[in-house]
Amino acid sequence: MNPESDQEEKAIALYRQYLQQEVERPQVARDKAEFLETHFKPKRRPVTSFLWAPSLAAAAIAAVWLIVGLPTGMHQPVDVTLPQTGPAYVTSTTAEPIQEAMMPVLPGPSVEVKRISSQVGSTMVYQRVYQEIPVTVVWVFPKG
Amino acid sequence: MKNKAPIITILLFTLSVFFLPHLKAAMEEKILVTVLVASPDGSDYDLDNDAFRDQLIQLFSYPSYRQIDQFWIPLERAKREAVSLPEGYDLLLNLQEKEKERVLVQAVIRKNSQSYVDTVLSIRKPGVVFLGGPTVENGVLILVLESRN
Repeated sequence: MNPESDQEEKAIALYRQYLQQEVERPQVARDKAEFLETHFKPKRRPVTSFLWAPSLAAAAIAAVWLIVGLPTGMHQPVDVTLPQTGPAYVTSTTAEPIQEAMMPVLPGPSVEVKRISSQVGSTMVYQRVYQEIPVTVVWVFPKG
Repeated sequence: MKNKAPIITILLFTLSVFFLPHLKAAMEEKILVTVLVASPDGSDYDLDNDAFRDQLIQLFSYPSYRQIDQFWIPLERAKREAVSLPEGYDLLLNLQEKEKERVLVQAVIRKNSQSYVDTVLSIRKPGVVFLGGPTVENGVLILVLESRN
């Protein structure tokens, strides 16, 4: 074996060992990790770019549609009772429903009169069963 | 993973297209209004629907009935609808609540800013209400309000 070559091999091995020690120093390892983190970090695609942005856009379209398409009074208060002008006759006469013989047993009233009033006279409410369906009559008797 | 944005967008838009009209329909109600004039004179029954004849005979004592008009009124929640009736009367309907089988409707018959009758009715479908009493020439006005399934 050539002594020069052998000496060269030893020098190379010594140099590699030196390099290995240098590289394995904690400070170098930290610097390397930081360098890789800074310059070679894999890019993450933001979630909003492929999922939420279009979803929100669709939701916005739906919201606009909802506002435009649905009844305008949707968010208004339900009770839109007419203003009462002048003294009102609220002398309602609510009669008991007329019971007929052989009246079928029904699961409940088909029509319930929740409120009734008149400005021109008295009122009356009654029910009769016609072909097993209760028919409700609301009648006003205008004065004069 | 491929970009699924167009698929999701189209899916949501399609759902909106199909869902919202149903939602809107679920908040609407239609009431069939039949306008009749009952008269103490004559003996005619001029009605499109013969089923009314027997009901009217049972309910009232007038010898003559004449159908003036019949129309559907589409109602939206909390939105008042007004229709003109004979001799200056107006009918105002307002859908206050709607459930699957029952609707809550305010019905007002008005003339010259006076309410002849102002009532709130809870009608289970199918339900029929007769509103009557306002006088017209040679008789009285009777409105038949029907809520159907």
